[in-house]
Amino acid sequence: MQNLFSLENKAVVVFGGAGYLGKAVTRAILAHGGKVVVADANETAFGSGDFSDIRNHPNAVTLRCDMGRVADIQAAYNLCRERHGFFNGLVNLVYYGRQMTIETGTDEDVAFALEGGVGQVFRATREAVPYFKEKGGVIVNTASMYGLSTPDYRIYGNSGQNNPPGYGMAKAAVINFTSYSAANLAKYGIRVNAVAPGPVPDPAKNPPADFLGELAKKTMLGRVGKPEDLAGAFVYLLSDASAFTTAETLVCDGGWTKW
Amino acid sequence: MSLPASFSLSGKVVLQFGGTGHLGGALVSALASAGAALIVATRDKESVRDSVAQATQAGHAVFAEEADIRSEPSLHELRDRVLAAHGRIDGVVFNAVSRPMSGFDDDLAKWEMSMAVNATGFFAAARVFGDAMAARGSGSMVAIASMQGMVGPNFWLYDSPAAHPPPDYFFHKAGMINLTRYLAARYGPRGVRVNAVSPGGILNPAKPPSEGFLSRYGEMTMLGRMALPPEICGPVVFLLSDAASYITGANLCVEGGYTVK
Repeated sequence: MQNLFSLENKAVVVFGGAGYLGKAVTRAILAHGGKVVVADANETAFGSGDFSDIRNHPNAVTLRCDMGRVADIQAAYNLCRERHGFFNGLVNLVYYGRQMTIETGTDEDVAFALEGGVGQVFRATREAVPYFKEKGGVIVNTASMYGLSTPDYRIYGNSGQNNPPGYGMAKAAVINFTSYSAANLAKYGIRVNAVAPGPVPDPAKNPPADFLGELAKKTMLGRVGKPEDLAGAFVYLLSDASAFTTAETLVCDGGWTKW
Repeated sequence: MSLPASFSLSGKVVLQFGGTGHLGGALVSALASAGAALIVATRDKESVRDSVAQATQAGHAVFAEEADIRSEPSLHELRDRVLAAHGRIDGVVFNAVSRPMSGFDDDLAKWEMSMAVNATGFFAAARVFGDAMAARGSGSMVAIASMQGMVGPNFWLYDSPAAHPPPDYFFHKAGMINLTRYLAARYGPRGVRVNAVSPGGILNPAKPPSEGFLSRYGEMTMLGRMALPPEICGPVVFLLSDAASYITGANLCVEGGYTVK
């Protein structure tokens, strides 16, 4: 029972592992004994001061990765096998999209949002299957409260933080694709779940204070989330503590979607 | 850099309602192993003697207390005894259940007996201990609900009409899931998180169902089988722990994909 949440038997590729949420998730995986490949498009983040503990960790290795390129994704999986001897866990924290509105968005904007929100999730899953097929594996995708509910525009005002339509569209698709994959890949011993974070604004992006107050008010806990609040959910879903949990979206939103 | 999420229950005082049955015993062992000082509240101490003795032998701090959740004074006394002995309460697991009904055509008195424990008793206990934890400004409550609070029965699964599950369970487990959200909204601002865990069918190895049932049930899940008791315990430990610090009002399904298929 002591080791219920241990990840000592896991070698995990973390897509987006150098981001604001990704760093906390990566640290938590390492702290629970897991081995990690941090695959991130933002190569400069690997060199930053607050990444040095991960960069210097004996169980972590980094790789620049563009989720649009199959070869990059495969390279991350191969690197995991080469460096860690095996590969049986996948965490995908990546999202990319553009600002758009219903009235001004082009077909191309929508296609881009679906690619950055869910197309690359499909790609990462498809490419992992050959590696996981023999001995099983576990996949944790990242959804959002906005895959379950829709933005309340009253809180956005002129904050410049408006949430574009492509975001929720893609995140809802992540939730359904997660359960589809779980049903389809159970035969290979692959579990697939998602974490749906609530508001976890990055202070580096300088969100206005009054907007942060509005976000906090929409939660039952009365505060926005920190990356460390969510890291545990990823570790839990990667670990054998969740061995009978599949097709599930674990909502970590301080109660945002529950009232 | 902040510390990574902790799943440990060390230093936490946890109260578990309902310590018998194949899940109750597994929970006692899991919560104690995770480091909690555990108080098992039960109608009859004798019924949890073995699981408490086992955990104590393994070096864990486990205590049994008698209480009747149909009685508010009994719950108040339990709260006072636990606070006097341990000084605080950090977590509550609500695993008590009463199953007086055996079929759809039972006397309504049996429905009422069920509600006295499963509806009124759950609310009374959640209020007494929710208030106690809110007074200290932190805590986590986990209600053991069921996927049978989320979906209706599939009678095809069962060997005969006599084996059909009774209706009260589907009513009070659904109520438990939504009362969990109410409690989460009420206690969230005072630092208390409230969540549900909804297991699917749990295999009792001592009393396994028929081969036919196991095979039909397996088909309905994605993992092809019933759950084992320890598989329900990991999610409960997680929700009690600080690793779940931003999760409240949630219903965590542990049903091998049954309700999603």
